[in-house]
Amino acid sequence: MHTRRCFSFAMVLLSGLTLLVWLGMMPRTPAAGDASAIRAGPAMHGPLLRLGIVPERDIFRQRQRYRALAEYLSQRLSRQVELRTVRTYQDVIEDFREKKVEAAFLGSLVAVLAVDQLDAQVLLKTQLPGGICSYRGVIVVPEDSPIQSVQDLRGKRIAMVRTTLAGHLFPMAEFSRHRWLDDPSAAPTPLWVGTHDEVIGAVHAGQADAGALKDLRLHELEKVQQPKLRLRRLAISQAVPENALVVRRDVVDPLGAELAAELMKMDSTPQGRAVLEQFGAERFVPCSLEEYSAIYEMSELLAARWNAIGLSGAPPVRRPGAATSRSSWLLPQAGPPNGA
Amino acid sequence: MLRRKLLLNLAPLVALLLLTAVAAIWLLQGILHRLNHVSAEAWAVVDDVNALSITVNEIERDLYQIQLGQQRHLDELIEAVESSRDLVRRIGRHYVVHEPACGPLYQSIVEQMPVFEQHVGVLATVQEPALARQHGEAALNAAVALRRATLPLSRYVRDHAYREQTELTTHFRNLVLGLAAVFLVVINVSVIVLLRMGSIVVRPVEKLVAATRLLGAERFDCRIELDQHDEFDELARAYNSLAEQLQANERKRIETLGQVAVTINHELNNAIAIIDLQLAKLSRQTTGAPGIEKCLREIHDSLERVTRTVQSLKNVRRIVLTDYVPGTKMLDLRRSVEQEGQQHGQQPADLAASQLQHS
Repeated sequence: MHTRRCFSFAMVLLSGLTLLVWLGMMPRTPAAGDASAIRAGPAMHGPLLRLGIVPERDIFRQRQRYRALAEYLSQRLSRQVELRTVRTYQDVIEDFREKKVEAAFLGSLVAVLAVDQLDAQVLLKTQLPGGICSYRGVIVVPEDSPIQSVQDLRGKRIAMVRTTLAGHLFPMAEFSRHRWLDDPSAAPTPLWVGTHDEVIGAVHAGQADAGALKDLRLHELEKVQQPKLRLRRLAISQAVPENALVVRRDVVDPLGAELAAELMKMDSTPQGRAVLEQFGAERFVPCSLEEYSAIYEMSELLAARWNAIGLSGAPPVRRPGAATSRSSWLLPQAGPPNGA
Repeated sequence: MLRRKLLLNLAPLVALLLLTAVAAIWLLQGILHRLNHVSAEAWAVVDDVNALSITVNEIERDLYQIQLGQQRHLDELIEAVESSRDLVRRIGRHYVVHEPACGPLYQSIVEQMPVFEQHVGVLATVQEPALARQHGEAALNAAVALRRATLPLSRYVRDHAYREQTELTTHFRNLVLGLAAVFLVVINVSVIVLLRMGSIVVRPVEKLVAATRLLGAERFDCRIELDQHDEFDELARAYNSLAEQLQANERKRIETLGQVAVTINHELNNAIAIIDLQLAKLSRQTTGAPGIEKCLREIHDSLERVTRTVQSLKNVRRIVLTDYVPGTKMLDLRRSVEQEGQQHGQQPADLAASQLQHS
């Protein structure tokens, strides 16, 4: 009896071991992680929220930053959030007009144009590390350039970015201040590049004598590329809000409000803070149209030549409460960047 | 004991079968792993290299559409570039691209990819025709360089995958043949072991059956010799003991019969001698009377028969009974006095005896 039990036990044990060996050696199916290399959108299903972004910097890195934010918002809003990177700043206005985006993070000029032309609403602006939530336009030349002031830019080639305050409106206002816009031979020749980063690239490569761009990008690139990149500032504009969340008027309530609420409380949660860090911001803070007064002033100055300087549509009209003194867009002298 | 003996024979056989099965599974799993490797990795890298080439084409197409103003969104372009970057990274994880023959090709792709990406990024947003031309040319050159490296790399990795597949097929064929040979050997060994196990049971059973037949034929001198040290051995000893007892009983009966025969012989011989003497006297007195002489001769013959019968009883060697009337047996004198070998024709008991001797 004992022998029989031992034999039965041994048989069961051996069969079990054989089965285990078989199962253990089963070929594995390719891991799901392998497929993730081909990027898929957020898995969330639900109403679609299309978020427009403008090409301010290297489009690939910029999308990576915004992807983290989109994934976070997708989870928080239970919506599928899709990013729409437009080719030019003007294109995002077209997207708003054709209702191809519900909201967008826009530079100051495009934000004002969207408000003026499409009655969009500015809700929030980005506050960057160090409490910086505004930026300025700057006109720069290489440090060893013979150009000493804006006056010396006459007839020179300047790298600019279309439909931006820093890269378009501000230098044009400067040219207007020097009365060069009436004299094509005197006005500097614009070299239209796509992003603020490319302005630096063009100046650095000698393709342009000067460049007009956003000071925040300049500071960042100077930090990264020093001492290779040494530029001198010729003029600096007044501050305008850093990239702002602009929402289409017809979706402000409730989508815009929900979106703004989620963004504003991001810095109160660890997950939100992690996403903000990835995004490169400290938090989102409310923004009002009054903060864009410098743009309205420049627009008023350039109103007569609005289309001639390459801006489409009509110049934005100052709304009540946005009035400031004339020519206040320009700081008295070029100097170190002013933060908030 | 018998069970243990059977288990001792069966256990190595089962162990052998299990070991063979495990070894076969292990070897086949090895093949499956390699097959999986070929399909999941070797062909995957081929797919990745081809996908890279296709993605570069897609990027160029997207750029063209963007330049023509047919497209104002850059998402597809960005995703295509990111996808190509991921593809390059994935291709780099495969060992084949680091082989001397295609290492430089992969290195060229790695070097060209950031250049291509940079120019594509600028080209996607640039608005100045001169700059667009400049970056367009640079992007095109980078794309050409990428293709120049991608195409031979694709050929190399495809050839490599084919080589691996061919090697695997050959290995699989050899393995199947080897396993078939091993299983043939195992089957033969199993048959031998099973026959041996069968003989452990069948041989003593045959001996016991043959001996039982002899016993049925009243051949009590038959004995079974087994040297198995198991339950059959015990059975054989029990049989031998039974046969001995039966033989002893038979011997006692024959002795008793002999003593009876001597007694009868003694008593009858006197009577028969007197009857025989009186018959001789009567025969002399009745000379010339044929009827009486015939009667006397018959009486004399019967007396002789009685004398022979009594004499036979003394010569009985074994007791062989035969039916007298239904329900009553009588001694078969003729067969009882015969030696065992004097019988004509071979009986079943003899066959059994010969079987017993042979086994």
